[in-house]
Amino acid sequence: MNKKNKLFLGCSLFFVFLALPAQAIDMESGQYRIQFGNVSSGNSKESSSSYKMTSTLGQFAAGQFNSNGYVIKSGFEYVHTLYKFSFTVSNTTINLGELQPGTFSSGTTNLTVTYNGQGYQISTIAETPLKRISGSFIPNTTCDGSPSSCTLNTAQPWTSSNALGFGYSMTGQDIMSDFINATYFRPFPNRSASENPAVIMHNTNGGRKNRQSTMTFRANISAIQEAGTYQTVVNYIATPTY
Amino acid sequence: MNCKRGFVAILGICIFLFPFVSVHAQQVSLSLSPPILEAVIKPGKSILIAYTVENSGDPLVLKPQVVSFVPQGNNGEMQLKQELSGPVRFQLDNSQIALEEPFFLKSKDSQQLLLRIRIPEGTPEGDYYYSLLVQSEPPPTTEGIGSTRATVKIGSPILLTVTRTGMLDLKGKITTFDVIPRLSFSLFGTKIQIVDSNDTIPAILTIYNQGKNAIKPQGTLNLRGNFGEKISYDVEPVNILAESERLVTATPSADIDCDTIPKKGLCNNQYSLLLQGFFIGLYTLSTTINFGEGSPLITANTNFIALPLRLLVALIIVIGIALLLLVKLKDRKTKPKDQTDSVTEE
Repeated sequence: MNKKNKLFLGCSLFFVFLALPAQAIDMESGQYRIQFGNVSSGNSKESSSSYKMTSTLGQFAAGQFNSNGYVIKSGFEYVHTLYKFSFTVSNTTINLGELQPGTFSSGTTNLTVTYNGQGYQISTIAETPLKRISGSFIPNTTCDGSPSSCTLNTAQPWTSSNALGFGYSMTGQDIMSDFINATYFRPFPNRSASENPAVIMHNTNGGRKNRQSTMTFRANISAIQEAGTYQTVVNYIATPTY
Repeated sequence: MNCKRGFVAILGICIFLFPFVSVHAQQVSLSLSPPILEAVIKPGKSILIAYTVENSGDPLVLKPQVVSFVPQGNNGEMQLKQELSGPVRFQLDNSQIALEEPFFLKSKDSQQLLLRIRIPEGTPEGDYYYSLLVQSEPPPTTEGIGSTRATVKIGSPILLTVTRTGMLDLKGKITTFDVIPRLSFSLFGTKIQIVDSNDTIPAILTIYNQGKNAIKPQGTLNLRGNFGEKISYDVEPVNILAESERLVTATPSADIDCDTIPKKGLCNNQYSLLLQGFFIGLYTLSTTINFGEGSPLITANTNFIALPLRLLVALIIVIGIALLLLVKLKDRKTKPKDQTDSVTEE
């Protein structure tokens, strides 16, 4: 067999092996059993300044399979679309400092959500108004007041330092559409008054990573507000939509 | 003297060391999986589900609990109840963790929660909706300043269908099916909807679940033009809970990326479908939906007319300006030349 024929035979065998179908295999030991296991023939992880690419070669039954009501994303590479539902609050103690009459006192925290598939919502509710142990409290803000008073689910501008109270605004991704800009505020719903939590972030589109918003807390007191330490507990409730 | 030296040395060491003790605000970062549970169970049976809660933030004291919820709005949102109601019984099979009891989870650690769901004998057939919640404890209070302390709850919905026979009550009706036009009016009792040829046309499809069990719509939205062109969009099989309404989306056209699209107004509302392209003439948007085996097929359709309104307005303005220029030009030409000359001479 001359050199040319050997090369031809070698190439032919190589392509025949490539064409062999990949198959699932069952593996077991004394303690474990892997059903429908899959051994891929190769993989790689490439990157450039703008993109990252991972690849798997020779995987059995890889791809997206659809039927009425179901979607199966089969294959190692779909692992990149499987985000865990996670929620992060950057700071759980918001210091509003020493409250001064007629001056806005503010603090911020960042909220970050990663979700998969069906969407999510973040709601908030305060346990009580911002209050002292003695019982005196800072009332909910009505923002700049009539005719455009804010409510539990409708943000309105709060720019006047004569407007008193306690409230919050939202900026960033997936926030509710009534938070038009950073001057738009809402009062907190109050669990002690049997109010329902208010939705502050939501998205019903497919899975996304690291959706981030900033919540700004603001308080403004009157000159006759009783001096002391005012505090409350704010709950954030993160749930995937059904 | 020695005592004084010793005191100074200790003080110096303290001053040197204290700045290196970091004090930072507590970060809470939790994840919970699986993100949703859907189960069909017979009365008298129980199932065991392994949840994993992971702490990627600072060390935390967490408390697991199960509460009931009711659907809120029409986008799959939920309103959590304060307590657990209904006949379904929940407990954790973990040896050292129980529902409503706090446990400690250190940073970068995870905990498996083995939730047993038991349906007592005699439980009425129907759906029961709950959410597993894992809640963090608030940080300690800080005296002397106004402050808010936060707790974080992360949840996972549990949709249970209790049935003896496996027969489900799958009844749904279309409550809204329409496009949002630029112009809309009634002519001889017929609704006329007009859009601009270049508009992104939002469509809305809402379905009300009249039955006792959750339904998942299956079907398509079909757009047919007067030149025979046709395009279909698959409806996403979202859960519509018993006796609730939900906006049904079609994939992938309603998936709006509000971070990048120039038409931000579209992000203020939720739509089922966004039709994009160049449209001209009469179009019919129809839908055919069913809710699984044995459920009836329901249909609806709506029509709209696409006209190049902006192009027409621009054309009218151009023609108007052109006519005006022509008239002025004609006026100038018909003015007697000697009259102009005499004015100049003066």
